[in-house]
Amino acid sequence: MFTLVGYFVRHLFFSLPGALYALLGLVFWTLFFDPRLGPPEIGYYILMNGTFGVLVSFLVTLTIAGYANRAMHYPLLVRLHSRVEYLTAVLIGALALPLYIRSLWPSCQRFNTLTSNLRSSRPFSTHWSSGFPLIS
Amino acid sequence: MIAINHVTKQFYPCVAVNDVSLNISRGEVLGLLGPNGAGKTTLLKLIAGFLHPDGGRIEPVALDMPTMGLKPEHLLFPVNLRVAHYLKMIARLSNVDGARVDQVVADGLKRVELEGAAGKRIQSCSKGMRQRLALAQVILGKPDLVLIDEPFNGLDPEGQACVRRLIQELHEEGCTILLSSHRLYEITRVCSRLVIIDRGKIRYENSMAGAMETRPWVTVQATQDLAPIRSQLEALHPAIQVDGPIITLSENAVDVRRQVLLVVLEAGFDVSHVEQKQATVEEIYAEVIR
Repeated sequence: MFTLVGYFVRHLFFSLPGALYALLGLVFWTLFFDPRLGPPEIGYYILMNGTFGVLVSFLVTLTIAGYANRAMHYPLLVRLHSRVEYLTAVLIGALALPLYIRSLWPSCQRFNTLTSNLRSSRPFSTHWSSGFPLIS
Repeated sequence: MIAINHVTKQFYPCVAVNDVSLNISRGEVLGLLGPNGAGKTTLLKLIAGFLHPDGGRIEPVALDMPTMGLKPEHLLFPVNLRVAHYLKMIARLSNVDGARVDQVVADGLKRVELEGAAGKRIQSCSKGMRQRLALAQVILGKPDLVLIDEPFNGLDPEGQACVRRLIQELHEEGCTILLSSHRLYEITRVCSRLVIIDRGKIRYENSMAGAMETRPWVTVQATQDLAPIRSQLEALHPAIQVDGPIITLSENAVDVRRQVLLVVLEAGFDVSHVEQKQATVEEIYAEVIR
């Protein structure tokens, strides 16, 4: 079963939908957890995390289930003693990617903090809208 | 090994498999023949468990369901994987011991003569290589029952010989094989039992040896036209046909071949050629489907 989980996760990780989901996670964090506003309120944090987690888990489950349902997996499927193993692998795989995206958020937070510091620091201009930080 | 009892599968409005009963015995190579749309692939999918029968049952003769390997007709693979990686995954799913996976994969590749392609991505493999890869995956882990759909498609003569050899080796190793193909000649060479299916029903079932012995026939060729003794010859048996210098003795008329030769020789004709022939699968197939 873990062979299948690894196979599904690896496929999604290296596919375009997987990259899009990771990007979606980064964009979401940047938009809704701006470090300049300070630490988020716990209620807001749980609501946003929950909403996004459910949405991404749903989309990832659909993506993996759609991939697992292709005819090319018949030879794999026929080897299993029980089809429940296959379904379980799909579900575990579907949980793994949202967890991975969630694990990206702290690094995203560090990135946001860094950019925020750069904006407020002396050597750099705050005119981000111009495209690049200008040395004053 | 597996008993198929009165199985029916319907894809409205047509009945793909209609009240089919068949026993697959351990160690046999069962050839499944039939025209397009006869229900061969549906039957394979029913046995593999990808379709649920609308009626009847497919059950193991022993207590446990046998382990299976499937080579589908369409050569679909996760094309971004490498050949060896794909086979390793199949081996692991077949409960091959982790320490033996590499060895088992190497053996599988060697048996289908794909040793050089282990590191190649499947997307860059030719159709013939994919056909061999599909056969390599089917034998990994030595499943009890191997379901093979159209194994000779897209293979050059050398590849066909390789597949034929592989099936014969598996048969000698005691593996049970259900082979569906349109290649009548190949079926004749590798199968031990023949089943012809048409419009969802089994129309013919016999061992290959039995099928070959079903209707032997003899031809006697004289040097001259046998018209003068035609009525005399045809009087010996109703299944004797005389056409110019050739006499054909079919079905039970084979038993009177000595009398036929006596009549021909006593009438002063010379016999240039006598040949006993067996019914071919092509003839059996044509007759059954007709």
